[in-house]
Amino acid sequence: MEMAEDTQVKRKVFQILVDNTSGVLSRIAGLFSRRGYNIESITAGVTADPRFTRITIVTSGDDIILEQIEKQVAKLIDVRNIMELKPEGSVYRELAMIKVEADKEERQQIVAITDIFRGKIIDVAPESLMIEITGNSGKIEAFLKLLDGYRILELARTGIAGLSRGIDHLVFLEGEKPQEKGWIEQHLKA
Amino acid sequence: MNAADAAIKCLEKEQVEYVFGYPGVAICPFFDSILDSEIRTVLVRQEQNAAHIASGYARISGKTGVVAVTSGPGAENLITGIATAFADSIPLVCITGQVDSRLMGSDVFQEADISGAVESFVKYSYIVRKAQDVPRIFKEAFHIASTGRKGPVLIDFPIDIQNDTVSRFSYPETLNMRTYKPTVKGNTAQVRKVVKELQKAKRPVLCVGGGVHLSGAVQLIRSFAHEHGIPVVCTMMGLSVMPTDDPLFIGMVGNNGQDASNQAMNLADLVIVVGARVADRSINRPNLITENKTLVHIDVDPAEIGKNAGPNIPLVGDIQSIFEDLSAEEITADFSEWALELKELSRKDEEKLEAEGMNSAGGEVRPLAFVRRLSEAMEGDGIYVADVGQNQLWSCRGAMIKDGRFLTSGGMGTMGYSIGAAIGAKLAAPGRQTVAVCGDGGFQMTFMELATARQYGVPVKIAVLKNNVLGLVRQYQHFTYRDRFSVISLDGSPDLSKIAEAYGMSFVRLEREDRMEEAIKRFLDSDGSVLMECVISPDETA
Repeated sequence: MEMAEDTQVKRKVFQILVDNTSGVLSRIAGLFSRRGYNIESITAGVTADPRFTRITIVTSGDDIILEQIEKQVAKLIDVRNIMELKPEGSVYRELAMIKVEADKEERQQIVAITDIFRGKIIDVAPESLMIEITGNSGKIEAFLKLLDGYRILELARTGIAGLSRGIDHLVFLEGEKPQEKGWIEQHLKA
Repeated sequence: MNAADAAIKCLEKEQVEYVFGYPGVAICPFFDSILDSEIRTVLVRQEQNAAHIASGYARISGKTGVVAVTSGPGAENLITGIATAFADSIPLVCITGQVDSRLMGSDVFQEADISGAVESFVKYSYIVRKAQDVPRIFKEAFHIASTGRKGPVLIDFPIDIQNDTVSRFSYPETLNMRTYKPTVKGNTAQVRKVVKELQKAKRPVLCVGGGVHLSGAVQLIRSFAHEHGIPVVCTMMGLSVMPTDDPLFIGMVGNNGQDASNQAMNLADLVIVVGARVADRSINRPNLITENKTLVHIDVDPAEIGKNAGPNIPLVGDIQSIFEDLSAEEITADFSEWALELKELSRKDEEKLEAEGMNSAGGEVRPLAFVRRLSEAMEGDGIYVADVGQNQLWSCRGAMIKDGRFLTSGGMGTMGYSIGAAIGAKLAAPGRQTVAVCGDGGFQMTFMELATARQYGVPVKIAVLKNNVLGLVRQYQHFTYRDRFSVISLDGSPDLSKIAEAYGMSFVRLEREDRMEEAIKRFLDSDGSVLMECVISPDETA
């Protein structure tokens, strides 16, 4: 099939709120794989209301594909809402844990770099260090570049989670308003 | 009351008439409970056909078809039927027995992860984990299957849960599904835009698809078209929205359609696509459809709009509701002359069809002539079920449908669909003449259901176009592989007269063109089920 004009590939971050049913994550992931949509990263976690899960998914494609992704995801029965988290109106964060080989001398250097990036040393062993660093993907990439002179033994990245800035783009879990204070505790008791 | 009883109660609340299926241990509690109900059961001979029968039933009754089969192989056999229904947006609720929920995931006897297997071609699926969830799950399943863009819903029902006690049964009156709210009413501003475009247009065309049938909007579309003299073309799934001989009906679009209808799409300055996907089979180069014209796309599924062609005016909603709104608007434009122009083109198609496709030099039966004469001889509200293959394409081109229905597996192209679908259609409308037209390949895939038809006294008429080959593949190999024919011979096929006899059916054989009228008359006039063998040349192309 021939494609329409704008076939330039763009990257987009979507926030998906879903009912916390069994298999919901596999339904979302399955949709992406069978329709050939790209997943750069996917993170999921329960929201303040345990009946819902918030998924942040980073994907890429041309305009037509990105529009289809939004529509096909919205069509899934378990999906409450899908919204693009635009870079200018959102905050993204990713956490990385990095285990680096470090002798006495290297240790000091690595701690210094980690400090600059406001990372934390979360484990120290005779031959290695473990670093925790949080930030947007760019910051993590930059940090990893600086560590390239050392031997990275293991690396775990969470993929990004994101939220929109301010209160203009809130998606309420239920109804038209945010829940009252103390609602969750009451709700959980009931 | 156990959960199986509760499930049957749910089916009663949904006014289910029939459950089509096949038992096995894992669904036995369900089939035990159904004995105490008025709901009728139909035992098929292979599970796939339970879904096809349910599909034919759903398409004619307008209700949701219900299927129940056992776990493992039973559920797996059903898969093709579910996928077929999904591709054509047919509402089904498919209940599969499952092994004991505590053993799920341990590969016990007849265990299969059916909800995982059908994930990509059901609208939704459930695994029942608690007996008390049964009423909610069934209520939701019927709601999901039959609203918005319709489709099959699977309920996987472990045997221990079926046997679990339900202390108090109450069927929910209403549903509160936070995440599923299909749009029914079309956006008023968009409706106005369509009206404005129609007023401006010189050469509008309505292109109708299967969504019109599913929405129950056939009469509305017919009267809307006639009110303004708008010519109508259709996709394969949209056949019989307009009577074939309607002065406004130009034909089917796409590779297998007519020249006039494809021309109509090209010449039009406004194309209104209604309940169609603009899929590969109907629109060759969808991105060109918007060149020099305005495209309006009306569909209940927003994901279909813009998937294959970017419309100028998208309009999401139920077709019936939208055409009620459109009919209420004042539209003064009349396009009768443009329609006449197209009808003239369509007359040329017809002449070509008769000259090339129907004329018999050596007295042999031409398939196009056969489907034309057969459909003309059928009762006005008859149901014509086309199978898949050359016979489908001939049927699409040649069949004359008056006030009846044309059914076929359009999206998935499942061979053998017609036999099950015809049985289901006949059960939904016992008073309507129902005819299946298939090839000898498709027939041999599903003819075991002749026993089902016999057992339940469903008089179906099945015409087999017999050429002893897989005709459409052979045709493809003829053109693409220059007659290097591979694996298309059906030598070894049974004597159909003996098949008819074995299943207690009347039999009609047609070999010569001069006997056609008489043979068709015998075929249609015989009481009970009839099998017709219509011998055609393997060299016929569709």
